Amino acid sequence: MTPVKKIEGLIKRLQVTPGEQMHERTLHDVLQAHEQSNDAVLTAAGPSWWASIMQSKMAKIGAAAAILIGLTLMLYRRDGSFDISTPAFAQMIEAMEKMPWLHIVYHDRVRDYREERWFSYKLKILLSKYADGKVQYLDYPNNRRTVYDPGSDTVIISYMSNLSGDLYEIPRSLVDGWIEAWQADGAEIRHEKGKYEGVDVDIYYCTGYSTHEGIRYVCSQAEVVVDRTERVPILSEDKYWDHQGKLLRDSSATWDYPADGPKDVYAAGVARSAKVLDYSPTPELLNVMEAYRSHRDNAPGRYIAIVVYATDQVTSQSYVVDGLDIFYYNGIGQRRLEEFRFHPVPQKEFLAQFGDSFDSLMKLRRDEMIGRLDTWIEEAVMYDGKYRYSQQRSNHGESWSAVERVYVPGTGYRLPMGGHVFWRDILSELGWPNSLLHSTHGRGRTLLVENDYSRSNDLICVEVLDEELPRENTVVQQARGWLHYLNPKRDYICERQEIHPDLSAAGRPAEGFDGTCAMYVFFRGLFSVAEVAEYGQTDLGQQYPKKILMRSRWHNDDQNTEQRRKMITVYVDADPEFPEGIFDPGKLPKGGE
Amino acid sequence: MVEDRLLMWEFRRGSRDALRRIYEKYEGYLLTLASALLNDVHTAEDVVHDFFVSFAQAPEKLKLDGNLKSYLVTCVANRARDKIRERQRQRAHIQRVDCADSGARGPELSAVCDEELQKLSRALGQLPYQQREVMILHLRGGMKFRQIAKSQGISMNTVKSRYRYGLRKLRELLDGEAAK
Repeated sequence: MTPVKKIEGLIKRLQVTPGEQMHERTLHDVLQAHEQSNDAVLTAAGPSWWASIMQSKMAKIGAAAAILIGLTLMLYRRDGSFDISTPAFAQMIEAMEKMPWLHIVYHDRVRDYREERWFSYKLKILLSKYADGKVQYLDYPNNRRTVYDPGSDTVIISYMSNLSGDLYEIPRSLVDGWIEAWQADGAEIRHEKGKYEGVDVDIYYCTGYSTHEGIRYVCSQAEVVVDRTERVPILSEDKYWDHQGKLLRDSSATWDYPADGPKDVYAAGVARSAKVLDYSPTPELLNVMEAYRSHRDNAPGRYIAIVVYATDQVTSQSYVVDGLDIFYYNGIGQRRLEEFRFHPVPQKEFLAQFGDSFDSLMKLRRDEMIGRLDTWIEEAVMYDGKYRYSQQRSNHGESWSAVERVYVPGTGYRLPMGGHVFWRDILSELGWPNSLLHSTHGRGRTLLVENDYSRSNDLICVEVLDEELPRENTVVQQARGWLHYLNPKRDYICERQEIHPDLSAAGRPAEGFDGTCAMYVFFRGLFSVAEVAEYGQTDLGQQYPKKILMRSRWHNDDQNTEQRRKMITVYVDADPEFPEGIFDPGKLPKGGE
Repeated sequence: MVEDRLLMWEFRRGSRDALRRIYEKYEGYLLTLASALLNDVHTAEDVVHDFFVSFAQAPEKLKLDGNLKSYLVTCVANRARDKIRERQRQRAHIQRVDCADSGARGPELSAVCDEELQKLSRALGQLPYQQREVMILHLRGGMKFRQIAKSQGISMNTVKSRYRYGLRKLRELLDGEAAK
């Protein structure tokens, strides 16, 4: 008989070497796919900073309008006939806002994508009708979202966070950002006077440029037709190419300004026979959410926070520290993050060596202190109110990468900071998680519920269930379920957050992101919980979570339970003296240093 | 391991170079694995190609909880399984790879041309797919029985049984070859 060991050894020796042809073909396709995926974001967006902005749900709401408003205003400025610093800019915005309704019909011929929107600044209502038949009606004053889901022929009415401030601020900031970004790329403008459907118009032709690997190329051409009397855009055409000349977007949009707009989803063609699921917010829910929002707004805005990450090696029942972040916020829109990831150090050893206080841990910024840790990545990210700067080095002592600068106008957007993406800042996110305000994308619901845990701990429980989000034959967001337990005695801080990725609003098990990948099976039956184990308080009396325990537990198919635990400890100085030059991009290490 | 974490870190931030390095590092390994699973280098190439293209398209969607290598192995194994199902649906004949084919197909099957490995390759091709899959993932993919069980949604006892039966069948097949 052939020995087992020999068979096993033979299988281990199996080796197939890729042929040169296969290697080249696959590598080419892989890199091209990667590039196209980046371009896809640009297609919907434009300059790279836009990609960051587009992650914001609220920014998307005004995006279609903002793109064209921004483009139009940029053209005025480039032409010299319009200056953002003159009253004409304010007049233009005012004219747009005074229109009772703005109606835009958008068509991208490359993707054959159509979208139609009605938008009222005055009533704070937005209706969007998408190519796939989905209709969404956002009623901001009443915190109510109505969505028609064509797949299930269902109208779902649910709570929506009132973000009217963002809604009106974002388009203005985008206009500003758009103008600057285009100016920086040296767009060329040509202006003609003419007539469009009997109306006297100004026609602006714009050619935009971008650079790829140091080579400048034409990335876009646009044409905007503006009513000369009303000073509002009525038509726009826009083409966008990648650096290889491939057409990525070929869109047109018509603008009109009707006196009346749709009053509900049915006005956009939804059949009255569609099933209705009414989860309209109750007055109790609205009160809780308002309290949550106001305490969140009252959280510290100017501070330094050191966040230490520890993971529990469940088998050894002890924590090891493997990461540390230092966040700086100056309260006027500038922020900075220094991120350190290192080989795990037993927690006791870490605390003995570096201390257990804000002051002692701040010393870790010193070279000789951080040098004691075996770091595998250090990253510095800074935002100066306009640009995000970032750079990394892979091992302490090695050279820093060149500083990467990305234009991110405005301050209210969701801003990637290293591996984190926060709507606001670390304390807001840990204490009042964004998931409660921005969790559902329309086909979900938010409800006040009571259960044994909320009753016995005197907490308010808000349940959020969300359907999966399909887009263009793929699922871009899994169905999710959350339970948020808020502590009204602790500034409505979310004391406990449970995440159930396999729950959905329809109560059916969630599907994985990629049908061909069974990784999600690993998490079947997942139960994940984050709990505030200890509170901190600033000198001004603001509360914040000082210690958070995060646990994940799931069942394998042998019915064994597996688990993982993490501990986040936050050290805060809410009246800080910032290190000199901490928000100065000129003080960042030069690449190669 | 640390290098993989760093590569993923950079890839998630949009680094083209990191993607290239991940591809070059694991291309051969995954091709070997897929070839052994499918017993067909040509189809294995397609599987590896398609997987990496999909991988490249959506770094933000990656739910990487374990290490990168295990993740890649699991994804490629899943795709290989889908191919097998597709074949079964089409009732197509599953071709076996042998030395004579290798030149025409491009990849260098140098190791497979080793006589013993040739026999093994033929024998593996005669195993039921589920047994072959467990053996390849465990021995060549370096996956633990527990990991295989989790990734396929089956019990660990089932995995062990498949491995045991696969090994027994392989021995019989190889002994049969030796007796010829």
